[in-house]
Parts: sequence; C-alpha cells; structure tokens
Amino acid sequence: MNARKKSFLLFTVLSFAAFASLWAQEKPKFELPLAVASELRRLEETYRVLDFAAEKIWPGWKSYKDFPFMLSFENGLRLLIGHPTPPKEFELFPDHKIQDKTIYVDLTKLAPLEIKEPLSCGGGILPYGMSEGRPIQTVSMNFYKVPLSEKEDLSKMKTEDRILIYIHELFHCFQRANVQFQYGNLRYNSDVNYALYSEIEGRALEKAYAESDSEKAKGYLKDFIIARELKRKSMTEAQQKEESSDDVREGTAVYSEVRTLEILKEGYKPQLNATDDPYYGEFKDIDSFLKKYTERLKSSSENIYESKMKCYDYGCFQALLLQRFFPGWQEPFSKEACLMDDELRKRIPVSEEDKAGAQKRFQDVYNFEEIKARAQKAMEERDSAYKALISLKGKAYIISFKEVQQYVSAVVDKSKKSYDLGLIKTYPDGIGKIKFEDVEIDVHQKPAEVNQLFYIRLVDTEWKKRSKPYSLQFEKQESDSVYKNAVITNPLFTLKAPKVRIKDSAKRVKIWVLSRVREKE
Amino acid sequence: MKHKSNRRFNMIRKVIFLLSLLFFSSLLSLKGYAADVHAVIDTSRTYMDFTRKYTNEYWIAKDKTYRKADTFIWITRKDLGLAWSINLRDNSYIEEKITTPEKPAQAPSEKEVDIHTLGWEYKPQYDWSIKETGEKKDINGIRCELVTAHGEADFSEISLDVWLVTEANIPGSAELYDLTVDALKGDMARSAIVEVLMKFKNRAPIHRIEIIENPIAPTIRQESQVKTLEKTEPPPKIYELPDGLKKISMERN
Repeated sequence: MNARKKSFLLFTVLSFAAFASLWAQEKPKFELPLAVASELRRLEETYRVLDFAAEKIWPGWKSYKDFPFMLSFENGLRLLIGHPTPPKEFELFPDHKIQDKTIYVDLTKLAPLEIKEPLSCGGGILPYGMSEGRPIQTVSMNFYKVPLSEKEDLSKMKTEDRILIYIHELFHCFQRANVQFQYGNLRYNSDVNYALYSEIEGRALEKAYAESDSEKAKGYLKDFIIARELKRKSMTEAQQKEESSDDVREGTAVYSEVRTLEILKEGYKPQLNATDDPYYGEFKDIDSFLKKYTERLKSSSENIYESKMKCYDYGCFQALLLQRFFPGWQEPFSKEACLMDDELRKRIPVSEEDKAGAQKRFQDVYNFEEIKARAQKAMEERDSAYKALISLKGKAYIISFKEVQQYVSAVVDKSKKSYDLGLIKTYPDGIGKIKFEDVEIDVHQKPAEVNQLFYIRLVDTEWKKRSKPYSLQFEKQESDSVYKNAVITNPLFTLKAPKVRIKDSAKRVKIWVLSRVREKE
Repeated sequence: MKHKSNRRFNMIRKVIFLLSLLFFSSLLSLKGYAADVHAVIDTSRTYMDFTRKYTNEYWIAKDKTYRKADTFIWITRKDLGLAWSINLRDNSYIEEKITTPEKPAQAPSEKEVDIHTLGWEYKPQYDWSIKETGEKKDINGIRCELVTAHGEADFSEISLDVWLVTEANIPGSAELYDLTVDALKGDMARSAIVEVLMKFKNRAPIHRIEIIENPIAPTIRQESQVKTLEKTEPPPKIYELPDGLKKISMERN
C-alpha cells in the first residue's frame, strides 16, 4: 500500500470516527423520570421478595425471573426488561440493569408529559415477540396518573401493593406451565338468582375463613358448595366451568399475594428502604395488608352486578381454605386441569340432608330474603337503564380515547351511577365532565354510554332538525380531517382536545382524540 | 365387391377413430378431474410491534384440503367428516369432527337478546364502501384487478386492498376463493372481509392487504400474496395422516 492510499484510508477512518463521535455527542442522553426509576427499584425488590418466598407460595415456583417485563407510561415511554428480542423501536438503555436483566427503552412516541408519582397501574401477560418459534410471554404493565377521586388519600399508595401486583402477574406466568386450564374466561351478566346465591357464596367463604373451629368452618364451606350449585341454574355448563376456571386462574394469583405476605412475616429483610422510596413501608405492617383481602372479599360478595371479577376474591379464599384444611392440595393442578370448587366438593361431601336444610340456614345465617329483595330491585334498575339507552335512535357520536389509551370509566366521577352489561356501561344520569391533561369533555346527554373501554357513544335523536351536526373551532388544520387545539360543540357534548380527527358519515360522527397534551409551538 | 369392402373398411376406420377420440378425450377429462389445486401463499402479520412471516402451502381437492405452514399441517377430509391438526415437532395430531359452519354473525333482534351474554362479544356491523378501481397488473403471471374496501362500524374499522383475478375461470381460482372465504369466516376479527369477497364470486384474491382497527386490541396489518396457483397432480397420500403420529385427546372433563 502506497503512502497516498494509506493517508486516504486514514482520512476516511478518521472522518467516520469524527462523524460518529459528533453524532454521539449530539444525541441527548435520555434520563429516566424519577417515577420510572422508582418502578425499576420496586421490580428489583420484587425479585428479592420472591427469592425469599416463591417456593413456599406454590411448590416448584422457580421461574419468576424468566419472564420479561414491559412498562408503559402515559407519555408514550416504554421500557422492556429482560426481553431476548426487543423490536426495532427499543434501544439499549446502557449502564442500567435489574439483577442481570438488560433494559431497553422506546422513545419513539414520547410526548411532552411529565410522569410523576404516585402512579396507579394495571397489567397482564402478553405474547410479545417470538423466540425459537414460540411467543414470548411478557408481563405488560401500564402506569397511569392516580385518578382525582383517589388522590385525596395518598397514604393508601403503597409500594408493597405494587410488589404484590408484580408477584400476581409473575404467578400468571408460572401458571402457563404449572397450572392447567381447559376453559376460557367467564363472560356472563348477573341476574337475580345469580346475585342472590353469589352473595351467599362470598359470605360463606368469609365466615369459613374467620372461623377458628374447623368443623364449623367446613359447615360454611358446605353452604358455599350448595349456594354455588343453586346459583348456576341459569348458567350453561361451559359458563359454569369458565367461572370455576377463572377462580383458579385469578384466585391462585391473588392467593400468591396473600401467601407472600404470610411468608414475609417469617422474617424478610428488605433491601429497598423508605429513604429510596417514600411509598415503601418495608412490609412492617403486614397485617394491614392482609386485612385488605378480607375487606375485598366482603365488598365483592355484596356487589350485586358483578360476575367476572368475583373470581379474584372467591378463588383466593377457596385456595386459602384448601391450604388451611388440606395442605398439599396443589399437587394435581400441574398434571391436569383441576378446579378448586371440585377439590372442595371431593373433600367436603354435601349430603341430601345438608341440601334439604340449606334454605332455612340461608335465611337464618345469611338473611336470604333481604338479599333477594335487594337483588331484584338492583336488576330492575340496571335493565331499565339499558332499555332507556337503546331506545335512543338517531345519529351516533363516537368519541374514541383509544389512541391516547385512556379508559373512559377511569376518569368519570366515581359518584356517577353506572350499570355494566358486558363491556357496555350505561350511565343513566350521564357522565358529566371529564378532564385529563389537556383533554376536556362535558357530556350533556342522559343516559350516556361508555363502550369497549375507550369510547363514549352518544345518540343525537334530533340531528335532522339542525343544519349542522356540530360546530368546530380549531387553531390549526393539519390535514383534511385532523385539527389541533379543537373545540367541538353540539347539544350532546362539548369536547376540547389538543388534537382530533373527525369523520362524518351518514350514520355516525367519529371523533378520535389523538393527543392528551398540547404541543409546545 | 372390392368397392363394398373398402367402404366397410372405411366405416370401421371411422368408428375406431371416433371411439378412440371418445376414449382419449374421456381420459383427458379424467386427468383434468384428478388434478388438484396447488397454491403457495406468503403472509406477513404485524401486531404489537412485531411482524411474523410465514408461508402456507395448500392442496385442494373436491372434498379434501391440505395446508402446511412451518411444522404444522392441517388436513380436512369432508368425505370422512374429519379434520386433523398435525404437529410435526412432536409428531402428534388432534382429530376433530367437522361441524357445519355457522351462519355469518348478524345482530340479534331485541327479542333474542340474552341478558346474560349481552355486551360481552362485540360484533361490528360494518358499513362498506367498495371501489373497483379498474387498476390492473400481473402478479406472478396472473392478471389481477385492484378492489379497495373500507368497512366502518361504531368501534372498529377495516381497510382492504385486494387484487382479484380478472377472470373467475382461471384454473384454481374458484377453489382458492372458496378456501379463502372459509378461512376468513372462522377468524372473528377478519370475518367481515367475507362480505366484500362475496361480491366477487370465484375471483381468487391474489394479493391482499388488510388493516384492522379493533375496538380494544392494537391495529393488525396482514398481507398475503399468492406465489403459486396451479392445477396439478398432488403428491401421493397428501391427504392422509402420516404414519407414526401420536393422537392427542381433545376431550374435556
């Protein structure tokens, strides 16, 4: 190689190096918001809690570090932790690890919204990406600003609760390979009969759990078994199995939370402390956390309309009672699809005599007639609210909050009366004003409908009388149908949003809220 | 006499010729009947940041179909009333009885509404706007025409760009059309696309791009393109269960 060639190559290499270093300098370093960094510390503490408790929670539970986490925040920030094949949107977040797990961040949809504690969260297991031809089961957690209604009592915000939620979700991951299911999720609306016997079921579990005398406790479990049989008269066989399957699916996950608390009492030493995390009480007051579970069971029992969510509490207490009276009960669950109510029936036989005496007992112990009257009144109210809703005919207005991932009911004033039928939520007295970040909507129509979690659906019965379906003011038009800083008004509602898309057709007007915060010009 | 025998000979020759013509043409038609449709379709599906690509190979006969993707095979035998799902990874299969497909979902009348199940399953009623664009092109040697469709419902939407064969009598078109319609009917999120295809009877979709905006789940983008469409002799025993597979029970407790 001659000198000229050498110097040319050297020049090229140096130019590339200079360009690369310039690029690296120009790219601003991303700092995790403090609230997000706190979540990472909580996740790390979760692993330590499970190191201490997992094997005692459920025999053979070792896999809790095998599943990636995805944390998503309202400003569009996403973190992927321990994922073997992150998609292209995610970049390595250097110098940060949780135990030995690599962290990736997705900044592609970052909005100028400040993420501050306290945050509430919800999540589930998602197949996210593929590895060796199989979907990667990922714990996906979404974090939200705490709703205004809950902000009054910030003392309730506890890191312990967050750790227990992570454990709950990780237990679902464990279930994939270790607890078998044959049925899907229950999708069923309550009726009078269901509500009546379901409340007796819940109260029977509550009494059984509180009863220190084993025989008396088993007597309450017989009540539970009989009430369950009577409750299911209006259910198909598949629905019955789905309900019992949900008891196992969600109930054992909640059971893992309760068992964690019981096991931590044996002497867990936290490594995260209240200085690093002011919301962390270091599991010093475990009894107050345990008490929440019995309170939830009580409130779940009394929820006349609920069918789907009761599995969390009813399932948990079936598991706790199985554990108390029949240790080792989990063993067959990994070999075949078992149901906890079947396990109770096998171990606590109910005689014909028990069944014959049940009605009197239900009246004496649980106040059967009072529950029945309450259930009848409640169902009439729900059904008439729904009838009033579907009687509205005219042009529909669909306002979508899906793009900003805002569940509507989470931001509706909790004092507003509502009735659920599947994913149709009827607000007979309307939903009034909603506000989150720079989005505001004032709904004047009564009744109002929230459907499919993200949508408000209103019906304009008098649209033919008006020349224009709505009026629109905006600061800037981005395209044919996209408007910035828009105000949409009609007799049914007034919507103010930083960015919307509108589509008007013969049957309906659809409005998508595209941003929750105003862009800085 | 000689003249007479020549005439008879000519007559016999003609009969033999006609008979052989009949014989060979029937053989040809038998051959045509025996040939099955062979199709290879590349598909990509983008959902939640990930794109999954796969290739399906189909063999379609009158009462039988064979589909292979990766290490899975699905065989339907309408003649036997059975369907087999085969997993080549662990050499196992599941056998199911073929049931009559349900009618496409329709909004139940108010009288039929069961309060117990109300609101749990969203069945969008799409208002379709379908446009025959007139745009034509050859895709893998097959002349196609672009049809676009947009379906709008209260809480969901579908956009569809589909290149259909220009002529329904292209070999294999009708069979591939039926297969596509059957497959879409069984897919809850995409079954509404059948409403569009029904307007173009027997015209196989050669290339299609679907964008589905679900009410709650993220957007699904699916693209499929037919790489091979032909009528040909299938490999032997293609519609039979391979030897040595372990049967897995589907019975529920």
